[in-house]
Amino acid sequence: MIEGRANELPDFQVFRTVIKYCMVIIIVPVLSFFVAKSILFDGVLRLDPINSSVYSAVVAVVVLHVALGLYIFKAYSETEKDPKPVKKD
Amino acid sequence: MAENNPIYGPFFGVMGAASAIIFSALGAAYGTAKSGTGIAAMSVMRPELIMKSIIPVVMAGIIAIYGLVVAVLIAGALQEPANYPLYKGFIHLGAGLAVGFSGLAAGFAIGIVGDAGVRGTAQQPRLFVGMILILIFAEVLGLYGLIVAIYLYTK
Repeated sequence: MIEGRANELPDFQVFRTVIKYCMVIIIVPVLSFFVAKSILFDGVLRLDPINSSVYSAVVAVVVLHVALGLYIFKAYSETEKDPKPVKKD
Repeated sequence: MAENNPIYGPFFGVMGAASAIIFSALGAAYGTAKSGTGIAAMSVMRPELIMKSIIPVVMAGIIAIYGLVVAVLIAGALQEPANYPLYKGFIHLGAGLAVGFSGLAAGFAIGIVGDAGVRGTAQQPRLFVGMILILIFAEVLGLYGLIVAIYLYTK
């Protein structure tokens, strides 16, 4: 057994968390750009094309940084708790 | 056709959209590759740190999203030469180059910092906070380019 192995999360769980957050970081900003543009700014508020594009770009970038902040927080709090030393025979 | 709307007017806009995504992707690719070698070298001994050390790769990916946003903005504003003055073409070229080269610079910085930071974090976990701060400052360089590009785009 590799040393310290008992302290980590199972491989599959780490993989699932990383994939989940990466998908959120890649897909959600792009989606929020087009959703904000076509539904909110063009549909509800009826701005002209240049302004609606700019505002939805700002929305996408803000969403992107929120997702990145969540990932950093998750990664920081994941391994922050000091693992108990493994007893060895 | 007026002197202000030459047939080659949209060429500059198209080049702006292309250079926005090309140079940002170049920077992001360098950042991903460079910090990826650091992660590969580090995780042989400390595989439990993978979750933390993916952060430089994610930040390099964000640089490419900046370029993507500007490229989509410019591509949405492209029109036939009759409705697209040369002035707009120049503005769009400038916007694309602004975000492209800022993204290239930020990607280089993220790659080098990510490589050294990830290797260092494996030895001394308290370096992590410092690495994140330096990465954020590198990332903000790309954000400045995005802000200038959007500001130019609204002219």
